[in-house]
This record gives sequence, structure tokens and C-alpha cells, in this order.
Amino acid sequence: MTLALGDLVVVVGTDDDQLATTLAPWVTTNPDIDQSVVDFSAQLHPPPPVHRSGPRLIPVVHHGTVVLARSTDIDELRTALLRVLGSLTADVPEGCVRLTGVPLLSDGAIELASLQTAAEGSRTLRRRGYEPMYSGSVIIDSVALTVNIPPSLGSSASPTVAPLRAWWSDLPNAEPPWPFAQVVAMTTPRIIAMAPDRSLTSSQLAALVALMEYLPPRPSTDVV
Amino acid sequence: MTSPAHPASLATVVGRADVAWALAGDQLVIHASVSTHVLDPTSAVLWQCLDGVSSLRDVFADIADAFAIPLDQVAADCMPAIESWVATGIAVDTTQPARQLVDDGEHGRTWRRLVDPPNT
Repeated sequence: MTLALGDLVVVVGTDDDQLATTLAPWVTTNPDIDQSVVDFSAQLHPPPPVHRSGPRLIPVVHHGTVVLARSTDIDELRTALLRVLGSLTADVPEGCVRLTGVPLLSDGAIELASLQTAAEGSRTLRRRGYEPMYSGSVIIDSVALTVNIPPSLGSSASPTVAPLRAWWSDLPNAEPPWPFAQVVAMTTPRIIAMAPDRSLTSSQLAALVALMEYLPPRPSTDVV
Repeated sequence: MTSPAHPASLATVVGRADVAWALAGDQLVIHASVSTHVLDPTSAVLWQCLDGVSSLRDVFADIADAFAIPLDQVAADCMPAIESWVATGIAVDTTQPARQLVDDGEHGRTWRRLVDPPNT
């Protein structure tokens, strides 16, 4: 289904009737949109294995080929997709930057893991003491060092705001001897991956620089 | 005053409005369309001098004064960088016929489209 979210249009595929009903108010039938490119997919009812001993697929939410959330709790994934869509429509204030990642709530603060962490599944993360708040991306105030997780699409709830305790790089070789500016440049895909038209403003870029100065990311080799 | 040899030094160049940039230490990160570049400290200074008001000759003169370098040398050193920026489209010559920098949104509603992440 094609959804019009403000001036943004996204194509969502799902096998879940409840989710389709929830998203129905945003469905548009613009013929100019190429529906063959699916931005997000929520496969909440994967087929069972052919053989009883075969591997079972875990329900998952994707952005393209990237896993945004994986869990056996289908309600958690419904919330995840709606939160992802809500995050897309949220404005990024001056001095803030939107970064992709998995916000992990722990002791009242957020640790932002790289998106690769989502593939591990929520059960693994909870076992480590984290409460994943799958949203695809978050808005970070790089001066106050707070994380803003926009509410789910269509929700009138206030955004979740919590201090940012740490965040992880998703670069395999981000440690020295890379120059600082080079690491900043290599981190920009985390801004544009969820940005309409892959756009990036100077304000967001400056906010990313400030964030990396005030709170440098932990190397990706550190396990969440 | 010695005039720079390059005739293009009379032009007024400015970074495109839709190009994002920020200082990162003494270097400068530029994001244009689908690619991100890092400018070394010298190029970073030059980029920041391109205000779209001063001609390149004035910019070169300021740099020559600031660093006590002959004006001709500044022009000779800086022009290749500026020409490459104009050629790649991250900077424009404002003395040339106007070209559209960004969509002003006045030509009807334009849909923005998320782009699939690379398959990596």
C-alpha cells in the first residue's frame, strides 16, 4: 500500500490485516508512485517451516533489506512500524540530527545501537537488560544530549525524551587513524538513510559534528 | 596590485544552496546529493570565503593578505579547486545565467520519496 505522510510518500507491504487497517487513513492512490519499490515491509505472519524441524522465521520489519525490528511479539512489531512512520514525519529542529539506530532504554537513559543490532531480536536485547524501542531513527539534540523518539503515526502522545548515554558507530573501521572529518563523512549515511530524497541540511551536519565531539560513538566492535 | 592571470577570478562563486556542509575540526565535510566529501584545511578556508557576494579576485586578495602570499600564487593554487567544485556542481558561478538551485515548491505539489538503502 502507498501511504501519503505529509509531503512524503512511502510504500509499505504487510501480511497483517490489523496493521493494514490501521494504516488505511494514509493510503493514497497516486498513479505516479512506483509501487515496485517497497520502502518498508512488516512480515508478521511468516509461513511455518515445511518440515517440523526446519528453522522458523521470526516476524520482522524491514526498511529495504535492512532489519528494523525482529521479535516474536507481533504487537511490538506493529508498534515498531508505526513508530518508524511517525519518526519519518517528525521535523528535525535546529541543532538536532536524525540518526538511524535502535534506541535501547536502560535505567531511564537511551543507548543508541546501530541498526544491525535489530537483527538480533528483542529477546536477545532484553536478556542483556535493554528495552528496545524500535523506531528506525531518533532525533538527537547534540547540545542537550537527549534523544527524542517521536510518537507512533497517528498518535497524539508526546514524544519520548530521554538522556543519551551512549551510541555506537556502525563503521567497521571507524577508529584511528581515520581523521575526525572522515569519520563524520562516513557517518552521514545514518542521517540520509531515513531522510526523504536522501536530503541533508547543513544544520543537521553541524549537529552531527557536535554530537561526535561531545559524545563520540563507541566503536562497532564493542558489543551492545 | 597584481591582477590574477585567470580571467575567471572576476566571477562570484558560491556553494549551492542545497549542498550541506559543516566544519569538522579544521576540515570541512560537504554533502551534495548522493556523495559526501572532505575538504582539507586549506580548501575549507577557501570554501568558507565563497559568500556569493565577493568576487574571486577579492577573495584571493583577502587570502593573499592573510597568509602573506602573492596574489598570483593564491589564484593559481585556488582556481583548480574552485573550477572542480563548479564542474561537479557543488558550487555555482552567480555571474552566469541563473540556474535553479533547489525546488521552490511553487510548481505544484512534489512528492518526496524515500530511497531504498543499499543492499549491504
